[in-house]
Order: sequence, then structure tokens, then C-alpha cells
Amino acid sequence: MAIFDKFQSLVAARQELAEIGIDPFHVEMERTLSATEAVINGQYTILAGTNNYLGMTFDPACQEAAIQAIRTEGTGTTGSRMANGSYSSHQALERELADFYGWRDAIVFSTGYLANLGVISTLAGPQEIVLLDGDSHASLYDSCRLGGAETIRFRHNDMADLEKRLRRLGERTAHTLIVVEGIYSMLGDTAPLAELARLKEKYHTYLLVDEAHSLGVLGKQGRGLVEQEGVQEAVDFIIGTFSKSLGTIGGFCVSDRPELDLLRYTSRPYIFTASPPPSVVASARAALRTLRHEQQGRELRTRLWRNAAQLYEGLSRLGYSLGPQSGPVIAVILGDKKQALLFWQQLLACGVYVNLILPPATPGSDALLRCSISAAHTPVQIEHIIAAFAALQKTTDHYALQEYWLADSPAGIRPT
Amino acid sequence: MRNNYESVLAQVKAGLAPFIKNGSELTEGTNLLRDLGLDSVQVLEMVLELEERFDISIPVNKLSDVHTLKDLTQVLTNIIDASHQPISRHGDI
Repeated sequence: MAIFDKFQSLVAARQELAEIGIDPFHVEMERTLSATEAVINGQYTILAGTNNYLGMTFDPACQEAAIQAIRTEGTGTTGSRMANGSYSSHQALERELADFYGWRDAIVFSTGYLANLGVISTLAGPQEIVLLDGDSHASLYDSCRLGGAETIRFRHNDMADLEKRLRRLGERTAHTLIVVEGIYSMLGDTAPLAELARLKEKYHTYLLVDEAHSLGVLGKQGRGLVEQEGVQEAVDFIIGTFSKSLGTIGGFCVSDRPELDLLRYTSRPYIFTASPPPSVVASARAALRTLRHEQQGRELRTRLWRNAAQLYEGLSRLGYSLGPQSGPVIAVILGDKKQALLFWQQLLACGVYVNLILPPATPGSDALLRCSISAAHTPVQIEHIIAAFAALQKTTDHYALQEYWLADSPAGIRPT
Repeated sequence: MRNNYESVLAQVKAGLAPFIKNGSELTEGTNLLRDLGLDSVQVLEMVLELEERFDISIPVNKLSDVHTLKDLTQVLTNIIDASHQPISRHGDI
């Protein structure tokens, strides 16, 4: 028992969740119907918490590419690239990513988490310093811990605080990596990249941007916030993931620095993990082709931003407190954990699935109902989500809630 | 001039004063989480206050073994000494 003693508070918290009837962190999708629809608890549900920003999981070209790859190359690679060798498709995907950014090289990892771990833990060892935005994803914190770098957190998006910390480092800034995200995953706000680029140049540091939530979403060609802000020349490393806008799983780092290739020989999360299977690589390549296609990519982003604006405006009109920027991540900020839990449960009863985020996973001490929007959502589905949020404001009674919601929800969408 | 532990301790006690809600008396043995009832957000605010007070950055990985006021003071003393800056430049002692 002794090694489990530290989980006692977790056991109590989980019991509290179990009493509401469904564990919000262990939801079963009984059937997945499309990129935006599933059956949960036997009920037809609109998915608004999947990070499936471009709806690529059900894109026919991606599906077909994955099926073909399984037929011709098998279901898995059964080992790491250093030991088992690379498939030609791994290398093709890396060339295509490098070409997309117009940079020298790219390395593919088996997940986005591993991409951060593999790059940052290897670049920043005990002799280096990482200056990390306070709202960064857990994978970025874990990367610093694995590498053993001196890790200094700066206030979220606060460039005066960052500069103060750069000044304190003196000549050590030459050994410093600044790490930020394009779109922050919880509140959906973006990093002030122009100012970050200026500070990076002034203090001669390195700059890494994690575009996990902004790849395919921002920028004229969908490369992310770095492209949108026109600062790519100031950025040393961009990290991305295949598990959001590209609809599969995996991650990558792209850089113009010739030294990037050295990471293949030293990065433990790269060396000691089985490489992505052929089907994953094939669907990531197909999704990247669609994203890069001038017309298709632009249409997907147009639909995504139209949907995001519809939801952000709808929830604003209802008076909900939201994250600072409209975008594919829309966070409804609720002060109270119990209210958030109740709302989350009632949204699900109305056939709407969002992410419940509780402290300490949230910035500050607020609880969040985090919505992520997809290009694959229809305007009617977004109306349905808004109607469910509207019903929450009228009653907390389960049955009355469903009546309000059925009255407000657009025709054509009903639980099965 | 090297900063000594006692002068840092006095400054840390002053810096933590706003975070003491339950009238607890701060001693070197005070456990910052358990005895002061601070949550993770308040700990972050406390760290930011101490960083401002001493004009230093406290690395996240230096805090993992900090439990008591004594642990915290020792970590801060080491950082301040390593920066070769006399505490009197930043503090009021």
C-alpha cells in the first residue's frame, strides 16, 4: 500500500466525481460518428472538445492513405529508427515538413509530447537555461525536467517580466532558450511573437515556438503564429503536432539550423521510442498536402474561423466570461469548480461535449469549460452548442434543462 | 560582501507576511504548503514576490526540494550569493 499512500487525496477527489454519475476525465465515446459527432451515454453528442481543428480524422484522402499504408507496409515499425531503420515515408514526411517551412531540416517524433521532450531536453541540459512562459503545457515543463536545465518561468505573455529575467542572466543569455506557444491550449490566447523576436535578438538567446494548437490554423499558408506574425527569421525551432489539425498522432521539430540533425544521435525520446507506424505517417502526409493546398487549406481555415467567431460571439452575447481572443480554442471561465462540474454534466445531457479543466491544470485558480472548434462543425451544430449554454442559464434542473434546450436548439439535431 | 542566511531570512519573512492568512507564526520549521495553507497559485505569487524583492529569478527546479521556510531561505541565499550581489542593493537591511 505504501507507494499508493500519496494518492489518498486523489481517491477522495475521484469519489466526489463518481457521485455525479460520470467521470469527466474518463468519458467513453461509444461510437464515433464523424469528426464532430459521437454517441456518449447512448446519446447523440456534438463534440466540441477534440482539438480536431480541421476535421482531418475523417478526411477521405487521409483515411485512404492510412489504409493503403497498412496494406503495403504493415501495421507498425516495431522499433526505433536508430535501431530498426527509417521507412522511406518517415524521411519523405520530414522533407515535406522542412519544405513547408522553407527550412533545412525536420525531425518526426512519435507524439507531440515526445517532440517537446526530445528536442528541449536534449538542447537544454544542466548548463543551459530555459525561460518558459508560465502558462506552458505540461510537456514543456517535463522537457525541462528531463534535460535538467535551469528552468525559469516568466509571467504569461509579460514581456517586461521576461526582459527583467533576461537582464538578470547577464552573459548567460547566450546559453538560454526561450520557450513559448503559438496558441495557448487552455485560454486560446497567442504569444506576442514580434516582441519575443525583438528580445531574442537583443539578448542573443535561442527561441522555440510550440505551434501545437496553431499549425494549420494561423498564417496565410497555415504554418502557424510564426508565419502570421512574420517572424520566422528570428525563430530557431518550431515544434508541431500531427494530433490536432492533421488528425492523427505524432510530432515534429523543424529548424534551419544544420545542428538539428545531431539530435537524432542524442535525443533519448527519439532514440528509445518506436517510430510512428506507416499508417500514421501516410495520413499525416495526406493531411499536410490538404493543408498546403492553396484552395483547400484556405477554405478549411475560413470555415474554422467562421465557426469560432460564431461560437465566441454567441457565448459573449449570453454573458459568459471567455478567454481574451476568439479562435479555435474558446474557454468559458467559471470561478467555481462545482459550478463548472455541474455545467459540464448538463452540457453533456444536452448532447454537447466540451473539456472540463480544473485547477491546477488551469491558469490561475479558475475552472474552465474549454471548447475547441473544428472546420468540420456546421453552423447548425454551433447553434446547438450555444443553445445548450443558453439553457444552463435558465435552470439547473435536469429535465427542465432538456426542455429549454430542445426549445432553443435548431431543428434537425436531436438525440438518438 | 557575502549575504548571510540571517539577513535573507528576515527579508523572506517580510515578503511572506501578506500570504499568512491564519495568523501563523513564521519559524524556520514552518512548512509552506501545510502550515500556511497555500495553494499552487498562491505559491506562484509568493515566488514572484520574493523574486521582485531580491531582484533574482528562482529556477523552478530549485523549488522541488523546498518544504520549509528554512529550505526556501537556503535556496535564496545560494542564488543571491551566486549572483555576487550584496543584498543591501535590493533590500532594506
